Parts: sequence; structure tokens; C-alpha cells
Amino acid sequence: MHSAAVVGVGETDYAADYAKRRDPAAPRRDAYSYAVAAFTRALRDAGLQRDAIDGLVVGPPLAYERTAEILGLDLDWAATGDHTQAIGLATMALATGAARAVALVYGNDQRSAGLRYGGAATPGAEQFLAYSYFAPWGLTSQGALYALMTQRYREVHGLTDAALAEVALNQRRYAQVTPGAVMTGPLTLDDYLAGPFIVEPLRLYDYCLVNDGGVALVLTTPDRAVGLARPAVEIAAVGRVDGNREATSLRPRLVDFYHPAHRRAAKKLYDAAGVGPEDIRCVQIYDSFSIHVPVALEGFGFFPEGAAEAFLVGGGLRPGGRLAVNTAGGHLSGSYMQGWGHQVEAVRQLRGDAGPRQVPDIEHVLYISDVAGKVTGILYRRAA
Amino acid sequence: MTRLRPVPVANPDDEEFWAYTARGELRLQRCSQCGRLRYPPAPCCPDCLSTTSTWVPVSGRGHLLSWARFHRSYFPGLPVPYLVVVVELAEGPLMVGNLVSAAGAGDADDADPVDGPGELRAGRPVRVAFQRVDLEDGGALTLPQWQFID
Repeated sequence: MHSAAVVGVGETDYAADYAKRRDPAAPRRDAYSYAVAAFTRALRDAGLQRDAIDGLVVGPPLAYERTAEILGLDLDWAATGDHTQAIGLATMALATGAARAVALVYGNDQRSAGLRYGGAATPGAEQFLAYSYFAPWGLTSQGALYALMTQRYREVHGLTDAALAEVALNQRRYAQVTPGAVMTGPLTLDDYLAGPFIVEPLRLYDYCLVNDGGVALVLTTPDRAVGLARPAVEIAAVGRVDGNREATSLRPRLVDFYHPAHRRAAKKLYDAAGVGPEDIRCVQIYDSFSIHVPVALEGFGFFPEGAAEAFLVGGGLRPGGRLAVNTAGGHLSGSYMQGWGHQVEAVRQLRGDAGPRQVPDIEHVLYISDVAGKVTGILYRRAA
Repeated sequence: MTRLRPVPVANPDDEEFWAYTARGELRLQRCSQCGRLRYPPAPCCPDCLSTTSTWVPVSGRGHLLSWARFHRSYFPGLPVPYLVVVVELAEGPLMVGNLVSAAGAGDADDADPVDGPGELRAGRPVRVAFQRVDLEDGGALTLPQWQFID
């Protein structure tokens, strides 16, 4: 199943834009202006003309109609979706011939807009009732739900502060060698432990950033990907399980750690691609909170269930360790682009463009997202 | 100081739940066709899709499953820190709540979430305790809350 290949990627200047957001004199930018910057960079990276794009998928808060209008796109096909839906939809559109070259475009001005996750107006509660349903007891925010999951994991399997800190510390190391990463100062275990609790047991450094930016990718069919400006990266397989059953009850999160959905998505992905976790050394993981990383790795078979402590303390994420994870710093230190930026990093790693953070001699990069039980694995592979 | 709690999301299926808690009863929807308990309330059974259900009393007994302590304020009427717990009922469903002390349970003036409720340990047995609370919009509600019984 090689129905799509990534031929162009573009991102905005996260760190520079983050600094500008702190300057009250800097002009206000909206989500569309970030999307424009990312799109034009992705197009240039692909070596394509704007009019070669006949399909578009945008990520909220963008609307595709307005995005297409701003970018002057004449389209045969368009849709809206989060980053995993966007890749799935684009892959299907290319496979069916509905489109021949699809731009995936995301822009967000969440920092400038003062967006807050949690409280009376928390984003996402229309889709995920658990974000707001338990407010009379004071329970709100995505982070609190992951705090509950972390505490439950500690009770069942054990997970020390020092083990969980490995996620934030290693991602900070990668951010320090990633151009444009937002948080690049040194971060020690003492710094991590001195970080204030937000919702205990999660601390400041277990939480993602909130910053402005944009991301774009250009996907086309594998035959059309040949001979373009940069090496093509194939989407070798996608495995998805849309786990919504009993979501608000918190049972899939707190009792199952989403593992039934992880295992089903992983099996689809590994079977389709003919690879297993033993073949993979570089993984990008949706990390709105640090706990995502060990739970997702466990669910996708990188270590036995309940063994996160041993994997993390044993240096599984450290330089030279078993896995290189979130090699651009992820959401914790790199940039919070709601999973879109992770796709760009997967492509850069497989092109060999990752500079000092390059993972040597890799054929595959796995991406895992398990937001609120919707588990998607995407396997990227260097085109032959 | 009396805490002012967020108003629950408007959900027609919840009205009976709150009517029972106001009378000191913990009742959940049970599917009339297949017998499945469901919580939060919903318009149909997720197993058999029957839209017929009855509100049956549950034991109000369970055990502590997980917890989290808020240090960041998200609601103006709820000063931090405060503790949120998740309880697994003997009948199976999970319920979110706060821990209340045995002495203050049900008293709207002093039974608010306690910060030092004793040893937090998964599996510790709890029972329901009803607490009348004031809401941000000037209304009031009876919350099912939890106290240790061991």
C-alpha cells in the first residue's frame, strides 16, 4: 500500500514568532497568516507551482473555503480534519483519483488568541464531553485527565518522577539542536522537579507549550513523486482505531490506558507494512503531556505492558538508547502544532535533513497519536 | 468561604440523576432491554441501542481508582489546591468526585474538597456522601461525593 508520498514540507519560525508574541508592539497575526507562510514554504520545498495543487485538507481552526480563497487555489477536492484525519483523507483522495496533489495546511494563533485549555470554555468539549462534564467537581482540562491517567499508571505499575522526567529531559535535548524550537534552555532533573505542579502528579515540564505557528505538507501519488525537488517519503501504512466507546466514563483511559485501541491500530499498521517494533528506531508521538510517550510506546509493543519505568530509567529515550522519540523536541519543547509538526520531523529524518539530531541509518519513522482514545499510527518510509 | 461550583453541562438525560441526588439517592440508568448500567446518562444503551431505561439505585460503595490535585485554578469559585478522585463503583461504573470528611459530609458550609484526606491509595474502599453545593449561577445542586470507610 504505497498510495501517497510526501514531497514538500513547510513550517513557520516558531521561536521567533513566540518571541514576537511577547512584544506588545508587534503586529497581530491570525491563524491564516501562519498557514500562508507554511504553505508557500512547503510548495517551494516540493518545487511545485501553486496551480499543481488540486486538493486541500486544512486543520481547525482554519476553514478550507477561506484557506483556498486566500491561497488562490482552484481545487477539485477539499476537506477539514485534524492531522491524522488530514493524512488519511489525503491518502484516500490520492488513491481514488479525487485529487493528484494535495496540500495539507494548518495554522494556529492560539498563543496570540489567549486560548486556555480547561475551564468553562475549554476547547474540544463538543467532541469530548469529559473535558467539561465533571466541572461541578472541579475536574476540567485535558491535562487533568492525563494527570489521572498518570496517577493510575503509578498505582498499577509504578512510575517514578525521575522516570517520567526522562520524556521532558530528552525532548529538551533534541529541541536544543532543532532550528526554530521554542524552548531550548538547559533542563536538568532538578529543574524538572522544581517545576510547579499544574495538576499533580503532572508538572509544568510535563505539559505542552502553547504557541502560534503553521505547518504544511504536500502529498502526491508515488508515481508523481518521482523526480521532484527533494527525496519523496512514502506513507507506507496507516492504522487507525477510532475509540470513542465509553470515552466520558474515563474507563478506556484509566483502566485500559487505551491499550486495546493501541494494539488494534498497531496490528493493522504492522501487518500492512510488514514491519514490527523491532524494525523501528525513530518514533514521533503526539505529546500534549509527557505521559503520552510511555503509554503509546507500550501500546505499540516497544516494551511489555507495565514496563515503562524500566524502559525510561534504563535510558530507552537517551542519546544512543533504544529509541529516538520526538526528535524535534515534540510539543513539550519544540512547538505545539497539534501533531502537524511531528509529520514534518518524520519526513526530515527520512530525508536525512535532521542535522545534529539525525537518527542514522533509518528506513522507517513511526508516528503515533492517541488523543482521547483515537489511535492512529502512520508509518513513513524512505521512497526506493 | 463557600465555594461556588461550575454549573453542570445542560443535558436532558441528567435531569433525573440530579433530582435523585437532591433526595440523597444515587441512581443510574439501567437499560430495560439488556440490563446494562450506564453513566454518564445517555439517550440510548451503547450495547443494544434500546432507548428505554429505568433509574435504579446503586450501592454507593466502591473503591478509589485514581486521583489528581489541582494546583492551577480553572474556575473562579474553586480555590486551589483541591483534590479530584475517580471511584469505581461496586456495580462497575466509574464516578468522579471529591473526598469529603466523614464529619462534614453533606454540610454545604465545610464539606468542600479536603486537601489532606489521609492516605491516598488505589483500592481504598469508599462510600457515597451527598453534599449540597452552591453554583456559580446562584443555583444549588447535590453532588455525590466520597468518603473513606476503612
